[in-house]
Amino acid sequence: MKDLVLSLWAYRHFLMNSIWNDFKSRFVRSRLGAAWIVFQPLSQVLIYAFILSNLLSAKVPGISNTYGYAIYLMSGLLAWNLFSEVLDRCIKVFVANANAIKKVNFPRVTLPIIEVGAAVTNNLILFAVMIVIFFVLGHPPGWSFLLILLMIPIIAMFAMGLGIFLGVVNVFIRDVEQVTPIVLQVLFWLTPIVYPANIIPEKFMQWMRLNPVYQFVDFYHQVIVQSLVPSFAGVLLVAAMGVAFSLFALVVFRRAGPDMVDVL
Amino acid sequence: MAFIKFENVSVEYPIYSAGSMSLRNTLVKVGTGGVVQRGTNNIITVKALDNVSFSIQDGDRVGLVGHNGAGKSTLLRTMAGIYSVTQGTAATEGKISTIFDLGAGLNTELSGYENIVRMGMFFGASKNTAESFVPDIEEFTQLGDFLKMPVHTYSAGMMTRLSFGVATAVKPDILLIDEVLGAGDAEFQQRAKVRMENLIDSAKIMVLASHSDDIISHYCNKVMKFEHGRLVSPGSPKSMEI
Repeated sequence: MKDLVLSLWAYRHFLMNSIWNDFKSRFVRSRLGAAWIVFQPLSQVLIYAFILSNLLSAKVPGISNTYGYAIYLMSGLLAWNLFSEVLDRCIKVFVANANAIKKVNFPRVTLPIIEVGAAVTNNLILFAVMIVIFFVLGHPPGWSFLLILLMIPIIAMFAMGLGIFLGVVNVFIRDVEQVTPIVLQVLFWLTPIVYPANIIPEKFMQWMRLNPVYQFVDFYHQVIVQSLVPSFAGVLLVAAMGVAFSLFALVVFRRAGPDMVDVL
Repeated sequence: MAFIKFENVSVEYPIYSAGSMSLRNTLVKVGTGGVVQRGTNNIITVKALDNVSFSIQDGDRVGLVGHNGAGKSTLLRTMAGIYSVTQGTAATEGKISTIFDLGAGLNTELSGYENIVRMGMFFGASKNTAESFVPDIEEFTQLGDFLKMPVHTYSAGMMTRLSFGVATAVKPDILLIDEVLGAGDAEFQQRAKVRMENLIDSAKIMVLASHSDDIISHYCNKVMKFEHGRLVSPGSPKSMEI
């Protein structure tokens, strides 16, 4: 563990440089550059809002704003996008960097850290743009919004732990990379992001509380849509799971390391 | 003082194929780091290094010779700590630098200048050190304004100049080289040779794998010959038929 921290410290400039390059590479070949970080999720919001707002507009609880449903969607997607982007990047990272892993001696743990850093950067930009949009829509953010900044590392840690573990397994069984989008799609629709939680029958709600994604999406909803300071119980559970997953993933990562190089 | 000391080192690779492992076995293997599963299932293993012992000290310039698949590259990667030993002990002392594959880690979206700093840090140099490489590499590569352009606009030869320049900028105690000499046009080769000689002079230990007798006898004062993963004869370049 000490070695790990030391090697990350020694490579800190490389980490910062790589995260910055990931961000910058978006400008290099596309006309709209980094604007896509924002356009992609917002176009999703527009599509859902266009199709579903008439059905659901009256049903989003805790908000009277005309654009209540759009705000609800955006807050849920803000949390979901961070989770799914970190997870997706960590799962692919070892296979994608096979050549460097086999041919250069550098701390391999830097690879997923760079991916997490890049995903968090994208999410912060999306968050900043959403704050502007909330002002425009007449739903100015309160101080409780700062809690989102607390949530970002918790979600990132949770997704990173899960992602690194699955990323290591993906080196041995490449099917993981193929199955992930399907599982994520199912999880997305099992979580109240597009629809409000109150349409879920009470008998299923007890199961929903076991879904960690629901816990942090619900937290975002309460903070952003209802401007509340929510209970931290559910989120603490996610944070604890995040720490446990990350430690487990690091153990697996270290022990499987030599075999990973053989397979890549 | 730098050294590389191998005692009875064997390195085995399992040959994986999608069908050769059940999901359960793979998960067990990932979870246990291969300790439980190794040798108890039907995975075919290849012994890339077989009971190899040697000791390399300051001042040694070692040439590795042998046929394709004799274990030269595996040995270099094991020295670098990229592969881990299956049996025996491998100990090294000193800062290691590897020149195995010139392109590894190059980001073609970035400019030449950005890649110099990025690759320098990737090879373990600090930010300041990596930035201090710039004037030297500017001069060596003679790429001029192309260094401001993204690397994907480079020709293969230009890319070789850049990556060779960066790879040879880091000054290690132990230098490990795998068949990368002899790239580029004749004029560049001459400068590359001089640069490589300077780098080798500054390193305490150099280990080089090559198929070329000329290169081995030019750069090395010791030779280790490998056959099927076994070290068959250590010696000097002159005393050996290579």
